[in-house]
Amino acid sequence: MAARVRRNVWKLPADDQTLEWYRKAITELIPRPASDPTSWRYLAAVHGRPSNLPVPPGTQNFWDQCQHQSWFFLSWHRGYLAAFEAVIARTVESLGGPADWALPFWDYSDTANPNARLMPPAFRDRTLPDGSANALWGTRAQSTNGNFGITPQDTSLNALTIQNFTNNRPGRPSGFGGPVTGFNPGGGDNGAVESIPHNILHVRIGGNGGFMSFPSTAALDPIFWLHHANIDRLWEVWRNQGSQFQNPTDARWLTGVKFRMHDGGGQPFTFQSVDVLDTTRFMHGYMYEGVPVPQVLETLETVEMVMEGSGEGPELVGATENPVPLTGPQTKADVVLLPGATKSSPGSLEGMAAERAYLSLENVTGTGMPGNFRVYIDLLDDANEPAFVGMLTTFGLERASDPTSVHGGSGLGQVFDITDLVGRIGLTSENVSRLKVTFVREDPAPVESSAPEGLEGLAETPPDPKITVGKISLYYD
Amino acid sequence: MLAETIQTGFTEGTARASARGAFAALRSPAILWVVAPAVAGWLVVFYFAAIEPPGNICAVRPSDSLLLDQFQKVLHWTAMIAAMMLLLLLPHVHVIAARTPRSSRHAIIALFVAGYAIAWIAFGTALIGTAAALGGVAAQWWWLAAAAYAAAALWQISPMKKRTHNRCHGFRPLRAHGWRAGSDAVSFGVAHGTRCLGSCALIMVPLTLAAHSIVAMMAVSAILLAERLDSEPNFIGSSVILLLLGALSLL
Repeated sequence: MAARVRRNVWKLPADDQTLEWYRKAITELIPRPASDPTSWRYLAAVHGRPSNLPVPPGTQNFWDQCQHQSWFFLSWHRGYLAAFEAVIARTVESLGGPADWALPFWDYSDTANPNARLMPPAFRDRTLPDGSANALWGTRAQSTNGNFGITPQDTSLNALTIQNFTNNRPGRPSGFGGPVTGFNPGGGDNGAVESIPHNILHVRIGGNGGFMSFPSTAALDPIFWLHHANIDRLWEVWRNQGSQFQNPTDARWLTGVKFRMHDGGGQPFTFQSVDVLDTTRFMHGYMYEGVPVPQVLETLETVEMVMEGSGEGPELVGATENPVPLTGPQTKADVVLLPGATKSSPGSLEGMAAERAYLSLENVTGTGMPGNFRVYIDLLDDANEPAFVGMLTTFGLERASDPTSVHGGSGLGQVFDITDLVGRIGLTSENVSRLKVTFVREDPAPVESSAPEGLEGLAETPPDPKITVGKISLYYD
Repeated sequence: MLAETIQTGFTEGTARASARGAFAALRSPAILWVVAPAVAGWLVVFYFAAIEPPGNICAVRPSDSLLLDQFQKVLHWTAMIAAMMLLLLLPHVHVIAARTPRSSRHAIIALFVAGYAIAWIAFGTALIGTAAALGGVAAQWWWLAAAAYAAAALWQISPMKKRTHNRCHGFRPLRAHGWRAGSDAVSFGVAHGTRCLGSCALIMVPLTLAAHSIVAMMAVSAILLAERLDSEPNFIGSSVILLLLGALSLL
């Protein structure tokens, strides 16, 4: 059979039945017992187990497997989506639907579509016109006409401009795809595409306690799968921009970790990153509508330059003096420059000027759903507005802060490249000893109180939100 | 970090650069404060094995001064911990080094390692003291060692092992300014050592009871290193190895 084609949900023709079959299949899967690998709850628990869902025997190596803050983020989710698509497609076919059903994607970054950032209509209402339950509905933040307050900044595609896929040096940004890790269900630095748009969208849609806000419940929401299909599509877009945009060739990524799932028939199988590189050859095979073809190969020299790190790595030149609890709508913190740094700021005419400057948020821990934070740096002249640096996203915060989790509760991390701002900040040890960082909280929206039929009691009840940035560091590289 | 530093040296392509890279690697905090003490620990352990007659060195020898004997055992324990446990610190040391000002890296990492060692030495001293108090049952040590191996094997496959093992991966932010940088390094070292005790102490007990067998120490070291480096450790496999070591201790 030819590879299935995943299409833009906003461009489906009016009479298209893709979402209708998706709805029917979910309706079929929800009543199945959680011990059935083809049930809705089992499929969701592969990503994360809701704390209220009992653990059936035999699920130990299949549940709670999602890879976050890791270079496996993209490859694991690609396999997960394909396995899910296989179950839905088989169900669709058994219900009398088409044999080539494919998961649509939600391209919320499509600037040509004024409605792109609104949730597609089929997912918005709790009930259908005939009064029956709409299986495409999920426990989410309150919204009007599908508007979850998603901004153009939330759906920015800046991640696509980052050439390196990964990074394994603390202090440097973690590339497009995420930092070098082993099997990693959460904790550490986010890759660029995981941070924005992935994490931001999760929190916008999930709000304060909806399914999408927590890894343990996110996949219970049918929109999760369209969101991740878009992230998976962005990986293809990134890779096809040119030969500078290379997947890792490191054996630790390609074949170092095996992931376990069930196929469309509920039979277990394993895969590795190397298996999912060609989407048309993995499982049933699929491709995306509208993804540009790969660009012509450029010189090998260019490729090598972007794949290899060199030198001693970034140098810590400033840090906060204490952990920074983010309380209230706005929190300010001082990054105090350290004496004795061997490098001077980028662009400096004195000493050995660094090429890049990074602001690193380390060991971000907490509980509940504190929302996302806009991060700013004060400019040299007080008359100027602070410069926007980026977003601190908190999807997965609670899991990453659990001391019994795989990172021992070390929390999340986020690194921003602030090289372009250094000149505007006037950052030199001579005329400034402190870098002023401001966090502006974006509170998560309140959630709908009701739950989808058959999934009652599975939404998490988040405790009061608390969040602390363990350390804010400035690195010159 | 060592591998990266050495690799950096070789990729520069000249003998001079290679020599410079190798020299830089030898001066790195990881080599000086982790690898070198670990190597020294193994040398001391081998030395003890060479001079000690076969038998249970944890039993009190009537011919020795009790205090001297206990002191020697604590030294032996310290060497064993240096040999077996310090290499497990390399991932943490890598991150600490990267997140510490270059000018204070050696001091901070030395303090972190010292804090870690303090936790283990305190535990070892208590263990040796207990062993001395139970000296009257010295004839039963081999059976106790075998039982301790069985207990350690059970521990490996318990849910608590996975949770305590995960705690060993925890990382705490260290302040970078003034004396607090040093005190944070020590306290994090102690906390990290305590967490590692939670995960590994039961495995170290039979080693002590079984007269610090070199073969057993090397096998357990390999288990611990694999556990630390593998993101999905094979606890069942290590449990089986511990059972085999328990059986061997009876021979």
